[in-house]
Amino acid sequence: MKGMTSMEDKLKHLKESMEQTIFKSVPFDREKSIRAVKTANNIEKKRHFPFKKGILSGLSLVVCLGLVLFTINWIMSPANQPQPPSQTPHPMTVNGILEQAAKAQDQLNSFHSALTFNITLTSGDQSAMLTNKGSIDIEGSQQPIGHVLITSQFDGNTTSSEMYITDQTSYMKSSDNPKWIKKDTSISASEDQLNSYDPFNDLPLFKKNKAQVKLNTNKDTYVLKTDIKQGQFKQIVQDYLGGSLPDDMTKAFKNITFEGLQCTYTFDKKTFYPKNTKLTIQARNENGGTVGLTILFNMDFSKINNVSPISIPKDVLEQAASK
Amino acid sequence: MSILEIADRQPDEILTYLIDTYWLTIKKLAYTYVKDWNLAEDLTQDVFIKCYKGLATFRGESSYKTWLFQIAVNQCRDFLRSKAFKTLFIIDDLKELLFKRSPSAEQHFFAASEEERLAHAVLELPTKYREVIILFYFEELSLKEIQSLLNLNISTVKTRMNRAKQLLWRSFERDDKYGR
Repeated sequence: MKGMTSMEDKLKHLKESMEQTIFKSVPFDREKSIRAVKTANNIEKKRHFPFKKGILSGLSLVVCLGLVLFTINWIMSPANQPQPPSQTPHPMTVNGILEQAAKAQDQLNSFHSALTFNITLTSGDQSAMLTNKGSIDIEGSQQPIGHVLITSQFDGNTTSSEMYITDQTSYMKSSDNPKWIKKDTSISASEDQLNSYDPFNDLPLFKKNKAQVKLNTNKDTYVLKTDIKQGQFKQIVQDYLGGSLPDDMTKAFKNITFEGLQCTYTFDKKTFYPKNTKLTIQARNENGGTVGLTILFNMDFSKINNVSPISIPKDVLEQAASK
Repeated sequence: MSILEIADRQPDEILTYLIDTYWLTIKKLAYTYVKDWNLAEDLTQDVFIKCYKGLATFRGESSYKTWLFQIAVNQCRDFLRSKAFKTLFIIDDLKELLFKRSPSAEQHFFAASEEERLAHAVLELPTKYREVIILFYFEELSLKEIQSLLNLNISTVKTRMNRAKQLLWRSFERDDKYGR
């Protein structure tokens, strides 16, 4: 009881305590703030939620997705191609394949993807594994809409989630929150969070690091592969993640040594649509002990432009509570 | 300036006045939820965008401050839920595992002043306990205002407040016992 009284006394000074410490020098740029609000408001009026953002918002695997995206775009960046771009690239070169793939992307209306995402952590003889398996269907013949199912397992606990995503609204439920909830996605901090993973923000950084992209030609596919070793990748990952993660996570990543990354991107030889993307990362954290970290991210694409129209079930629309 | 004094002004003028008066307040409040200044800035911007959009329909049934607080609390809670949902707990699990053996937080705690210890201890509280403490002791809102803002029963607010104090007390007691 005495302790509680003492705590009450301490809390009476919470305002001063916080103002003198955490809030001692909070920056405020008046003009920038006013401009930002007015500009964002104007953009918001005009903004069309892009198809790709709809896909991204549906994916809950933020960190790994960011890694996948930046890796893919890094590979796609002309600065990182082993050969200089020519005006009429031969389709058998990396540049040619990427250009064809970019054209094919414009024709992409729908696809199905089977997703696997695993994180394995090891410390001494102990290990823990977070596994995620899921499916994603995206269909955009009329308005972009996605249906996402993900099952996660960690430490004996299983969580399943389901989402329907449109350019305006997302509907979601999980085993932890089994009632459907509806969320307006037109203004979304999490969307902004995802936008901060835009790989083009970091192009100057990536241009400094020349990746060796290898091309394998199989019977039906082209496979682009990159294998980045510790020295090349560590700074890129730290700088990349450092700009887009909360402070404490940034500090955590500074303690991580990235030992390597392998990424493959497989395209159909005829259509240049993607068939698979796979990313593996090996890392370790040595802050007060060694924790090994292995990340595997795999997406198999199928039913390209052949996904049946997706509609949000009536009961979801009726039951979903607004957030 | 009262609501009546600014009600007749143009939306841009009202927005400027509100930004001048409340931007930092809202940013600090947002920080207590997300504990990251970049996110707090983004959330504050979102709050004022909503405010700007809603100015035309604002009826003055509450003060601008109360209205902004309501938007801010909803925005922050929404963000936390959304973030937690979208990451499927991966980041938190990862963070916990990566930081499990990190001595830095404890070292910082013992080297810190009493003010810092209190501020950090409050920020370490689970969100539902942290928000009532922040709103009552930092923002100096009444229990009734907090009840309305968080859409809770008054008894729930009181229960959370007591639970928060217990957690803080235990946190201080534990660290004094083992560290100081």
